[in-house]
Amino acid sequence: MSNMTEVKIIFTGTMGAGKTTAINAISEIKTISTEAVATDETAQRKETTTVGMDYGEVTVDEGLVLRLYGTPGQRRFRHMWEILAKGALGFVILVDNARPAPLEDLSIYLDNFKNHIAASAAVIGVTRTDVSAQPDIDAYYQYLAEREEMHPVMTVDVRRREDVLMLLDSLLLSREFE
Amino acid sequence: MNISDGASPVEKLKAAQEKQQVEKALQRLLDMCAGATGALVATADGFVVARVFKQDIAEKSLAAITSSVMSLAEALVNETGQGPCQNLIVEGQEGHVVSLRINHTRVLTAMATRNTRLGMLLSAAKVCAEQLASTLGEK
Ligand SMILES: Nc1nc2c(ncn2[C@@H]2O[C@H](COP(=O)(O)OP(=O)(O)OP(=O)(O)O)[C@@H](O)[C@H]2O)c(=O)[nH]1
Ligand SMILES: [Mg+2]
Repeated sequence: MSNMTEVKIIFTGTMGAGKTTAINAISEIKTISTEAVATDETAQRKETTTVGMDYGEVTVDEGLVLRLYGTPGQRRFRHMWEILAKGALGFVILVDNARPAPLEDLSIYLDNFKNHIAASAAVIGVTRTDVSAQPDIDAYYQYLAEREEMHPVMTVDVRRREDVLMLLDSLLLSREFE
Repeated sequence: MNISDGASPVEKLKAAQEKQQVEKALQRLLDMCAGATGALVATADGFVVARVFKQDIAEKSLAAITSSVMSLAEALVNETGQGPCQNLIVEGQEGHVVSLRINHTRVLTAMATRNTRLGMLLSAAKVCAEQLASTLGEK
């Protein structure tokens, strides 16, 4: 290969927070998706849910290609979490702020990917803040401080390409990829 | 968590009825293929609909993995231009596993001992999936 660097990035987080939407918003290739008709409470919000993985690619700098993997959100698919996390150099954790307990939701992914994140980097994207503004960013930083973890937190609308790229930028800044 | 959790009484009744129909069909599959050790129907999003097994299995995990691998097999076949996916066959050292889609929202997984002829398992599973497709409809 030439001077191209490829880096694996994971989009994980709450069911319905927008992982599939985010990857579709920025991918330069036709994304691979594994959506299935939802039969549980997900169906009240959206028709389908990810059961395998999402895959897309985006070039951020000349020579740096991000390979984007989206996990299923629901806990019963944690077998996929383990498979997908292998070799990842960064984690984007998306949290749906309109659910009853977003901070508890966040803890599921921070706990599950703890070792992976400790060895790489993470950024937290808070979504659907137009539906629910609380908890606010301060509450997230407060929560991370209590856990003695430091990750950038930002509110995003993952339907917007710029917002998703901003998440990736801050993830890349918190780590030198070479 | 179960497919009928949090559902209305009518939905619960429907789920119970479906479970019964599916169990019967799975039992026929096991009768048809002597080496078959078990079979399960899952929703496409990974919940158990019904199962018949000769030994204990972690049915919830199996249902979730069934939906994941089926979706990935379908992505693989489509991506390589070989679609649509008709079935998924995995040969393990200790036995065979096959998965087939019944309809838009239901997936079948069946397994057999390694001495079983793969063709036997596959054809029994296909018959079962076709029967269930006509009983349950195309939903
Ligand atoms: N109101 C609002 N809706 C949003 C926002 N961001 C995303 N959405 C919507 O939320 C939904 C997100 O769905 P997906 O992208 O399937 O979510 P996911 O995280 O992949 O979900 P699972 O795969 O089921 O875990 C889509 O319908 C988006 O249009 C936002 O900021 N505000
Ligand atoms: Mg998704």
